[in-house]
Amino acid sequence: MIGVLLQATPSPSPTPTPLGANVIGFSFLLSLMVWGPAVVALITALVPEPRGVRRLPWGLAFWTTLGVLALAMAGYSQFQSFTTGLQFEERMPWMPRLGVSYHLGVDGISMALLVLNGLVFLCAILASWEVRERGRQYFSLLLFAEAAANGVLAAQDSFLLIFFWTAGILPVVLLVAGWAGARGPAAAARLLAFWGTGAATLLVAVLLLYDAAGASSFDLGTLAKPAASVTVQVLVGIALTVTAATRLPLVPAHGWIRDAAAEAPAGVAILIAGAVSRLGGYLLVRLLAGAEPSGARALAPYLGALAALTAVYGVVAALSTRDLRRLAAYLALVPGAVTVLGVAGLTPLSLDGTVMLLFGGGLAAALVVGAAITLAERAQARELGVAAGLAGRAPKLAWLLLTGCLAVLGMPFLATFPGAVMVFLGSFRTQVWAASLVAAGVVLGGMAVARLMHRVAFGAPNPDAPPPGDSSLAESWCLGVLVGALLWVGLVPSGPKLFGNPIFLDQGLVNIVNSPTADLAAPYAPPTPPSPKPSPSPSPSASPAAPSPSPSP
Amino acid sequence: MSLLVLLPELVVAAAATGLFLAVRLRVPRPWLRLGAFLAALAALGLELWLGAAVGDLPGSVWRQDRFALFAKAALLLALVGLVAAAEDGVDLEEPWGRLGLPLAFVVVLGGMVAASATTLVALWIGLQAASLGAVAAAGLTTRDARSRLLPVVGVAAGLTAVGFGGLGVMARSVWLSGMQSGLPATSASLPLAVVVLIGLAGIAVPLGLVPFHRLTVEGSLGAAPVGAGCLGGLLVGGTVVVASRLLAALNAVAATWTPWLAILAVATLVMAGLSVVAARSPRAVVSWLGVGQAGWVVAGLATHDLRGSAAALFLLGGVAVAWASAPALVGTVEMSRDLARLRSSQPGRALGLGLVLLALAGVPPLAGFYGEIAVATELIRSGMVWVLAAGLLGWVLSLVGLGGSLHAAYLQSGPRPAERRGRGPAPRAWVHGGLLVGALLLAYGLFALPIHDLAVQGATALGLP
Repeated sequence: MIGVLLQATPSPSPTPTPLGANVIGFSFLLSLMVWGPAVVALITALVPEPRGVRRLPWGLAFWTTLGVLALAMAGYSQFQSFTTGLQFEERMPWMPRLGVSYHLGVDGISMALLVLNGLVFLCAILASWEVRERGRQYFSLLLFAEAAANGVLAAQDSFLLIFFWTAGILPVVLLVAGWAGARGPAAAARLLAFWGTGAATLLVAVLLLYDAAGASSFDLGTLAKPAASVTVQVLVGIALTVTAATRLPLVPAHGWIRDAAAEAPAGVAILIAGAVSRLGGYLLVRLLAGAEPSGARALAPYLGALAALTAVYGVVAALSTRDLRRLAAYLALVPGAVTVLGVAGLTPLSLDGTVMLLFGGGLAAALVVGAAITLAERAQARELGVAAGLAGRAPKLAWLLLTGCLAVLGMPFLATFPGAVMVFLGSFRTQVWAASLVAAGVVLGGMAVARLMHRVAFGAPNPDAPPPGDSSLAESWCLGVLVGALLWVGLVPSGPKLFGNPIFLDQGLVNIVNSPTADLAAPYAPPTPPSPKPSPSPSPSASPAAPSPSPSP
Repeated sequence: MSLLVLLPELVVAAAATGLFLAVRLRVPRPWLRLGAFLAALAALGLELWLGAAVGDLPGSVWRQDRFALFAKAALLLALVGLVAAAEDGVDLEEPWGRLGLPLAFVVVLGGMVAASATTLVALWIGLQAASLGAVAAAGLTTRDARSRLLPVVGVAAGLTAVGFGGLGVMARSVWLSGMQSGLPATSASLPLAVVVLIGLAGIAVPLGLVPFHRLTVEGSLGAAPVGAGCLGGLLVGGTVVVASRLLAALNAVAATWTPWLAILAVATLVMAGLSVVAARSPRAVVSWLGVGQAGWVVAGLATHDLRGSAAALFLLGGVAVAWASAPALVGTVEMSRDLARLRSSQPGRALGLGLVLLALAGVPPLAGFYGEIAVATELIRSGMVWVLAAGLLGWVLSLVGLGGSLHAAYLQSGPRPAERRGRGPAPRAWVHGGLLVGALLLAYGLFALPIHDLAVQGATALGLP
């Protein structure tokens, strides 16, 4: 590991960056974000809790996660937007005869999702304040899960990608098994079966790409060149779709979500809904849409159908269930479905929206699941008929739940709105039926949310139910951070500006994800009609890719 | 070439003899353990130092090449793991258990003989020495175990004798190099295929491949922990060494054995995965996880080329360490739920066991994962997609099965540590040799570059294309 850190090389700086950039230069930022939580997890697991020191595991996990979030924010603020190459890159040979190297790096898409991971895992730790039973195991598993999730996003070698993808399975499964009540083991077994299958199909996809690329390198830069035949691309696409479907999840690979997200404690449910499941969408964007254009085109209608099925199923299930926690778990399916619709749309606009929605959807899903679980715990009931009229006694939680529900539906001023709009505008041109059905699902989702809020929050209170308390300080902070992020990105998606200059070191999520997404979507850009007079004015983007449709004021 | 290259073998043989004598003289337990550990470590160090010299002894009866270096180092590393894990195992508490350690050295010595073998006779002798040593170690517990295992080993020895003899007759040479020239591709015929099938069936028994898994699985279940480690990691490691040498000599007639080996691999991978899911005792989980790994190794050998064999050797190194030490770490725990007791009383041992189980299931970042991916890469490159599919199915099933054991061991509430008369609960034992094994399995991936490189050199030394 020391060798890795020492040999890591900083990436070149292709273009000048906005105000505040290049203040901090890390050559091993990503290694720190990946291995830091893993090392602390190991320490937490091994070192016995000293007598008289309460909540030491929680404290270790909290400060570690906060540190990782700070690193992610530092990387985000120092990130050179409007460029397409990898940044914060680290590379060293690992198994050269197999073509495996320790290669980490991020583009705008990965960078945005690393920030999402940081936020969601911090909230998961905050939501776990009440966890006292076997705290050392719980928090070390949580940190291992964070390390693996960050590793997936930073991996630029497909061997590393599989490594982190697989390594992240067991911690989450054990968290569900150990802390999800009596049904935990069964839920965990189901989760393990689905995610294990997903990992196996991911391995198949990578091996097919490796073979098609000459069996000489696992580097994503090599594998991502669409050199494979259409048949291989389709096979790879099918394998990737199965992997993504087990993670997001998509119907019919959703068998684990009801139990895992609805029975697990709030912290675990938040990290599953907000961070770990988003990796499925990331995989589709990165490896299917980004690397296999022919396969993506062939599979687009099927992806659209899966998205439509998932959205409609999720909403219908939410309408029919009487269980508050399950209802939230079903609603959390909706952002995933819209994300996949964006991939199926295969237009620059829809892909741009997909990446935006991966970020916003993760926040929204984490918020709605976290708020619902907390509310159910406070009300000591999860039946919609029993947990009723809670807004009067738990106003904070009621409003947090409402915000989460609205975010899931993609309401304006929330982070999901720009992404959802871009996805629908982009995919209505190419996937009319799928887009229509997903849109119908979102509208029906509005009905489910209205029913939920009417019954649980603003309806008549149940006189027989025990009086609920409002959220604790830790819970308020946990869910408040998610709401703050949703509002921040929703209100200023291109970053706050003063007289045209970025402030608060936030360049804007749109600007960060814009260029790499445009580069990735270049094969799907419609051919530009020949202009009568070639324009001599230079493009504002340094990218050779198609210009992005999203604004960057 | 200097005779010094035989020094590691000499150390192992001397250690086995010395340990037998020490057991006979009732040397105290800690000294016995320490002596065994130091001897294994010294042999490993000497092998890595002196084994780098490549060449044949006069008469070419003994060959030291990169393959021999890798194979011997892997076996000795597994021996180090086994001795470290057996540190506080129950074996050593019993009179019969003490004999397990010297017999483990005998098994490794057999494997080392096979690793440097240049003739079919030496291969056979090495394999039989390892088998007999392992069966003796595993059958120490009861007469029943001995009477069950010895016939199986006898049949296996007979099959290999017939197979090897037939091959020698057809190739008109007992020298492995002579077989390569005496069996050109044109000589592939039905009689040759039958002879190869018989020989491989004999090898499949100590290798634990389905449907010849009786010795490895059932033998391990009833065996003393160190004996189960001998039957698992050490004997399987030695048998893979024999198979690698033999199959390299038969590479020109690969058509006679590749389908057979691939079918065995598929059956083993699927059956092992299903059995891990069904297993209720941690010893059965360990056995079947190990058998699954043996299936991956054989799948790598079935590609019959340099890269596939290198991947199989690379996997073997990690598997041998994990499988040899796992039974000793499990000890006499009968049911998965009883592992919780282990966690509360011996957390170091429980952690080591967890890492070993994860390595055997191919979970990153432990040794098994790297080897499995390397083999999978070669399988898809060789077009053996159906074997890969079986491997992935077995891998997923193993994960599911292992999840239950891990949950029982590490997440269910364990009993309070046993009260000692008037002195409160017994202190928790954090320091255990299992931690060393876990560290070895973690380091295997971290140092994958030189290890995999040596495995490739080893496969090259076998003369594979």
